[in-house]
Amino acid sequence: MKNLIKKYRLNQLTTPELNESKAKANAFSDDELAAEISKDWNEFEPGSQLTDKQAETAVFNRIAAEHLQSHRLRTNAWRYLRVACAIAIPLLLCTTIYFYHMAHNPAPMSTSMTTGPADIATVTLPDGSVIDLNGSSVLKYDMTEFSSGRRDINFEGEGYFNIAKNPDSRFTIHIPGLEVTVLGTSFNLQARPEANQATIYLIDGRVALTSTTTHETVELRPNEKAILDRTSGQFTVSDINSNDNPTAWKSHKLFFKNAGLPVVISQLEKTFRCTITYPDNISNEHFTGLIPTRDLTEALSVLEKTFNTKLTVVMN
Amino acid sequence: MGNNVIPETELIYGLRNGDVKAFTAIYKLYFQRLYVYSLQFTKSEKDAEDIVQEVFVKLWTIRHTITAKHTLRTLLFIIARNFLINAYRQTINSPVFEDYIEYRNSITTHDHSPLEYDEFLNCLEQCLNELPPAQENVVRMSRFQHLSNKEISAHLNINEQSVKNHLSRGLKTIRSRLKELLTLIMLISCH
Repeated sequence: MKNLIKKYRLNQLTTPELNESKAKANAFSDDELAAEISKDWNEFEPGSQLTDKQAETAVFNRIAAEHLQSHRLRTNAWRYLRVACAIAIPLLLCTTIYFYHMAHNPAPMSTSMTTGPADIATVTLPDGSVIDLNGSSVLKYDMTEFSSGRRDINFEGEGYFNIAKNPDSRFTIHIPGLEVTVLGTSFNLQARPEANQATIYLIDGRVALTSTTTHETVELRPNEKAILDRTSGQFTVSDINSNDNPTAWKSHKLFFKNAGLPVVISQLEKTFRCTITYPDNISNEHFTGLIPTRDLTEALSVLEKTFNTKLTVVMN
Repeated sequence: MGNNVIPETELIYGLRNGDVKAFTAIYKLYFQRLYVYSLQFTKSEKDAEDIVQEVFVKLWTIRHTITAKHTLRTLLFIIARNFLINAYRQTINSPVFEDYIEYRNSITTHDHSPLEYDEFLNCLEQCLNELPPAQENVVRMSRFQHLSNKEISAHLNINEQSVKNHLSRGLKTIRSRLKELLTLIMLISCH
């Protein structure tokens, strides 16, 4: 059998020998056949053919690509780890020093809240002060400074401030042209960047207002309002009267006191980000009252009923 | 390898520890032996390469379990044996191989090298492609799929006599065509 196998390998079988091989191989079990092939294998000596070198390289590359790679990666990983350590250790030292430095000289970290035109949001500051922000308002403060006791915020827009009482720490609102200093108080502040006037309605407590233009300071008592003319830097202080409804917006309402219809319409357009057209015959009318601002249709129906007219809306 | 022949026990030790250098040395030492032997068994370069690849990959994956009980030569055979047995059984039972043996025996002149089995298969493939489709189909079923005439007739839904006719005509064409081709190749390889 061993000789038949050798002849098979070398293509030296005759047809009768092939038939004999077939018969034997088909009668043999795999183990029996393997034993015969094994004998042949042990006697086998390969010649050296140069053409096999190509196959040798090709097969080795295939094995290496699929199976030795992960192993090489592991040995490479050690090398990378060493390099990584060389980089990481000084880096770690630097960051440690940096954070140590930071803890003692904290860099300003600004926190800001912005509301969209139709949004109303409530913000609670780290000291427990609560601020209701009307639409299109921006509030900014430095978290680390604020927490360390310097209660300073920057503000634009309109908000209802309920400032936590703290006799040791003043609360200052910085607005272009105005500084509002408070101890513990509730007030409504309207300081729209596009408007020339900033208005503060004091509900409770005490506030001091300082014009940054004239450095004039006024103090308000509860139930007083102050209007700052931003151009001149002058304050006008008066009592809050029944015609004022400074906090109507908090319940999603717009308050108007004898306001020209174009003013009312433009306020609604801003709130709902849309364009509202109305017949010319009512353009000289005036409106006093509350307009709900949760829903545009609801808001428009108030005006339509009041002036017995039809308003058209184009969404922007 | 030069004069610095590393003792086999050291190679086995290195392999067990996952030393790629030891594996590479073993590969270089035994590639030729395994490849040529596999080539003579499968009579196909591609199949021989596949066996070598499978065997060495297996050697690498089982490296932790290798003991010095076997020599590398024996170890490689143990891993390769099933591939070799399969190739052997498949080839000697193939009618085409029978044709090839006939061809090899028919060569009397020794002034040229005979076709290798895979070259012979290529020629046969070319001849088969030139046959009418009905004949080609029957010859392929008979020679490559090892089907009997009866099985072919059932498969193709034609009577057994037609199968016999197709087969004999097809084989006759192939034999004469093959002879032409082989003579042509012999002429080419002589000059």
